[in-house]
Amino acid sequence: MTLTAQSIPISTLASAKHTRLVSFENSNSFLKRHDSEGSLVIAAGHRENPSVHAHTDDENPIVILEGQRPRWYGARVCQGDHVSNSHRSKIETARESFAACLRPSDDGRDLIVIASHWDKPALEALKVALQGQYKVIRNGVKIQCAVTQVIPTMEGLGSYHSAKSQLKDGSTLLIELGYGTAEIWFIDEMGRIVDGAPVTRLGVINLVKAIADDPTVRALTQDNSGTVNLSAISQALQQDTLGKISAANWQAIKAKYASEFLKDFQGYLRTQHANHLQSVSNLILTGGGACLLSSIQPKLSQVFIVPHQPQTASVRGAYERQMSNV
Amino acid sequence: MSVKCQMSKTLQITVTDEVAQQIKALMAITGHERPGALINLLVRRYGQDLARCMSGDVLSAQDVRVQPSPVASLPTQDNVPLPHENVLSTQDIVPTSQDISPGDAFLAMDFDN
Repeated sequence: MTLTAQSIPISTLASAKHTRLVSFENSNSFLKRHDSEGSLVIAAGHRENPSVHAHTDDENPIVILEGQRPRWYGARVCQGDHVSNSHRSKIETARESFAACLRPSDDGRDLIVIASHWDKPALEALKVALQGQYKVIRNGVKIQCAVTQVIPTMEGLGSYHSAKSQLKDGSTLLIELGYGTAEIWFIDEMGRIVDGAPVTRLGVINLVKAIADDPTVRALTQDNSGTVNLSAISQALQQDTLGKISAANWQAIKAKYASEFLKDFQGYLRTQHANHLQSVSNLILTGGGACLLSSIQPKLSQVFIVPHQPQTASVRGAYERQMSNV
Repeated sequence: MSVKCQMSKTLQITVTDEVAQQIKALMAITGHERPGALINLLVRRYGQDLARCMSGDVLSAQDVRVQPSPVASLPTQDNVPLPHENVLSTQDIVPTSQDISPGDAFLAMDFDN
């Protein structure tokens, strides 16, 4: 018997779900996802077996992946003791991180995932890690889906696509300032990455650590063991104050260390890439660090193109680039 | 036409009008308030160490921004000595940024101000 649309019961047709395209980036600091429903950003730290008082939402979900212990992810967890992803490889954490980013509307669907990573040799391993069936309970909702195809892509190309409408003819230097690393890519006029590398020295964590070592910050924020919570400082960089530090002092501290960070950034580019810098037509500054630094030092926008919502420019751009090929 | 620049108490150099225009254009982009700080940066960056300049030297565009230095270890803004006084007084200079790459403009930015 041959099935036709007419022979399939109406109830089955109504529940049939389309394959969904999802863009995903497993950063050590933030898990990022973009699809037709919009962007989702989750702070990457987690705590196992949270208490019943844990306040959950889409950006702070409790996730149970295939019988594992419940994990509470997100910015609220990162304010206190938590497990960071930064000491594990992105391949190792890819599957659990993607599970944390699933939506209730993924249930019953096949997913095609565009997965961004800066490490070209690791792209194949990322593909293998993400593919397969997912059985997840997220914020109490069962989600069962399958990643049927993974399209690996270089992390910078998504941001490049996001900024493309603002570019002049010619080559581009793209700097993606992440928390742990910065990626510096030289992209030719055809949109191909022709040189570049990740640079740990330029990750935003270096700015956060410098602030944590400031005597005023240390005196007012360290705990009984003398430890300063770097995640709390990282979050406070986007805010008007940190703990007991007054708003005026916090602004001054941020400006001082951002200035030092930017001078180091200049020094790095001057010594490593002076030739490239003279010839490029465009400078793109993107990633969470771009959002942060351009808010502290507005003059950066005079020379850099900063894409709209730079923290998610990479996942959004990768999604839009793929959709433009359909 | 040229412009005299008092770089320090003992050093006065002259820059060509072309250089003066480039400096002015960069100042508009980077926020530098003193042209001497930029001249210092650009001259040293390209290996023409300002310490080797003599009063009365004339710096052309060739000396400040045409070729990158062959010296591997280039100075950062931190170790560039700032002059005590800088004077760039020229009339009718219209700032233009069209000849300056965004990369050069970023390297010349002053984050202390």
